[in-house]
Amino acid sequence: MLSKDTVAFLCANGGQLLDAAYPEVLGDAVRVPIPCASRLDVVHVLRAVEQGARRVLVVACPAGNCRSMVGPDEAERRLHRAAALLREAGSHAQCILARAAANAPEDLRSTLAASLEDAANQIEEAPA
Amino acid sequence: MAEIPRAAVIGAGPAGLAAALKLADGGLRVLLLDAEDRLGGSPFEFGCKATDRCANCYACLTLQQIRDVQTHESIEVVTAARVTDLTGPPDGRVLHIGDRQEPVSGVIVATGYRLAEVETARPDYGLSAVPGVGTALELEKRFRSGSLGDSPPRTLAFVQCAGSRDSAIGRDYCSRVCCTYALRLARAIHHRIPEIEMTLFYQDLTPAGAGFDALVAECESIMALRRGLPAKVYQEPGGARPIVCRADTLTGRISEEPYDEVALSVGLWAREDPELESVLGLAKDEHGFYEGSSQHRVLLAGACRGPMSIGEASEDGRVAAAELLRRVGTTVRGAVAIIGEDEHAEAVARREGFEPVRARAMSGVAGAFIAETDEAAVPVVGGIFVGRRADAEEEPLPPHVRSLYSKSGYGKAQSARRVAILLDFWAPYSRIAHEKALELAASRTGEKQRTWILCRHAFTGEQGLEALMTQVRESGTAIIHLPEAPEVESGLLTYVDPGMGKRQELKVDLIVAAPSLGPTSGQLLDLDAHHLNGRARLGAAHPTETPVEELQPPSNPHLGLSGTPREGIHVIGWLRDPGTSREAARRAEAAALADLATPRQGGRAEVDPAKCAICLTCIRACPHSAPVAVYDEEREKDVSFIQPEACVSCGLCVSLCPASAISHSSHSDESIARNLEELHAE
Repeated sequence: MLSKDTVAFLCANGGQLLDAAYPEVLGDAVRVPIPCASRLDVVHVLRAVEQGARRVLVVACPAGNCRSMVGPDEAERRLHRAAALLREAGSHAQCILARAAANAPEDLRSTLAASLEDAANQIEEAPA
Repeated sequence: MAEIPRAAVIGAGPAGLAAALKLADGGLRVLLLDAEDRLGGSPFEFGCKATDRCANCYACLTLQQIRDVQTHESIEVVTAARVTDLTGPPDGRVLHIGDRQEPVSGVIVATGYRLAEVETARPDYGLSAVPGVGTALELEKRFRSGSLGDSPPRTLAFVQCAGSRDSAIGRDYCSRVCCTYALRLARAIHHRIPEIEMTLFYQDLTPAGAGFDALVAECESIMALRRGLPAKVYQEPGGARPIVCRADTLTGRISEEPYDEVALSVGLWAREDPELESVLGLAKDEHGFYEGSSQHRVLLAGACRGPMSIGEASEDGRVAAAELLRRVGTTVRGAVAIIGEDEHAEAVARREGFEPVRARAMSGVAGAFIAETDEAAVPVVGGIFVGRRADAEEEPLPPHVRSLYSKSGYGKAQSARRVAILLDFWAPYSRIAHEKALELAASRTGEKQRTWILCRHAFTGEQGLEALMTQVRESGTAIIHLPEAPEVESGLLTYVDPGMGKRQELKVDLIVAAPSLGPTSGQLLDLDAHHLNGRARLGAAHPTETPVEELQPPSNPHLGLSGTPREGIHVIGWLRDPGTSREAARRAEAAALADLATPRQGGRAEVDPAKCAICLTCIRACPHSAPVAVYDEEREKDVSFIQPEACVSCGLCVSLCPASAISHSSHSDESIARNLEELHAE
């Protein structure tokens, strides 16, 4: 179950529709609507972390399903850049890109589960 | 002021939802009714079948359509609704929904299909009787919920045509969508749970759209595809597994094999609703699908007319809605460019009040294109590119083989004595080729004429083709399924019979085959590959050496079956997908009637010319060709300008602009930051 320390950027044709139909998947995460994943900018991710987010999630369409063709790839590129900047700055905030169509809550769930498990492992492996 | 006319749409599946949106966008008030207590129809049951890529099943679009319907101010939705009567004179019809009475100017019936009753129609398949036997839809639900992955079967068999293509139960028609459904589902399952060994038993693999060859090729590498349906599925004696008993119709071998699970691909049957049929005067075909209505302005859309895919049903809904708009008298007027020749597109355009313009190229934006003809530049509201087959001399067919599409092939074959028709071997799977082959075989009625059709998979997934195939078989045409192309010499075919494993020789007078399809070299002058797949703008006509496959627009559910990333531009015909003549006509109709207005999505991107460095980043990146360079007289320099008619407001250019010169009217950086602050403050 996601809490309010997760910020989820949701595209209009995928993430927002999925969230409207299956709101339980994102739980208490803070939702930020964007028209397409390609609208995501590095600064949006940094701003979310600045506001206290420990996890930034972008829900984009699967490849070949984006209304604007390149949204998920663009979002991935920028999310990687933001994650690198956050690491450089010493932040442990997690950046997650989930590619899930509007009718695929299970894809979002499995991406989240895998990412949360990764994060838990990283915490376990981190030196005390 | 005259009251805005109201139309009713009965059924809120993909066809009904699309029809309601089209009618409402066309200026009517719409009453959308559904017997269920939710919207979405049958596709609401389907999950996403994407792997690393979208599977183009269109199921996800249902949620988008539902959102658009629910937020459209001209659409009223009534669920759990029963239509009980339609009364009044033709110009004053009143629809009765229980106690409620609504004046309507027209009605669209889009009540969809029902799944075949396999338990009763094919009890020998063991559904609900043999442990481990279920439907493919049940399997999909378990897959999506994760329970299939929690305890996966080691072996899984798909059985196609459960309840269709079966004359013994009076269902001698192909349900058209089941093969693609099962193959997409199997591919998705393999993607997540690769340890499951899968087999699919089929009569013929029937494609429901573009990309079928690639889908089959991919599935051949991950599972066994075996010709021949089971005679029965029974419980393993002393065990719990289902046994599939069948004869391989390619090799003739009989086998009885246990599987951990069997998933039946259930056929599509006509929905039965005697009250609605009586009220609306609906006529039915021999299989119960609706053919028409005796009532004024009652139109049909979607799978209630016959099996069709989700994308096709949506398209069908839009076409029916456009027809109703025309009859009510609210059609938009203008001119539409048609690049290439298509009599259907031209006829529909004319009928709808559009002036078809035969053009060589186009430029401009949705609603305000300029079409270049041989004589002049003409303003048009939209454009349709029509891909045609290759020139005869360019067909990549072996020597001694003539084209099925040419007069020297098809024409001569009508009178020749012994004719072999070869399909699928030297070209991608083509539904039009199968249709033409059956038509040719049916036309050869001479006493001494013999016909052989050699193919990988016979296609009958179109209304009337199953009956046509039965007819030609009964009149002596042999249909031979071969996995590989036969060897061809002059008047002689040699192939290995899969059943006997022996070489066979077939002496014929004429060999015709389906060549690969694509635009003619002349048309390549008209097509700009970059425009079609959305990487750059549509330019003037110029030669291109781009391979044909790269000319094809991307498959994407958001673009529909004919749309391109460029608003107002559609691609149909051979270039898009070599469908049957009926499909081609429908696609041309849909393209000619497509929405040519600006998309509904809110907001748009705008350039601040003072900041624009005309670096061309936005112009190169925009998939919709919305930004263009214009001369700014005030600043005496070129600047980027985003054409609002072409902009779908995705915001890509806003995020890419290195000079931060582009802002988004509804999703600016500031508004997103404010949104984050407010949400966190909560």
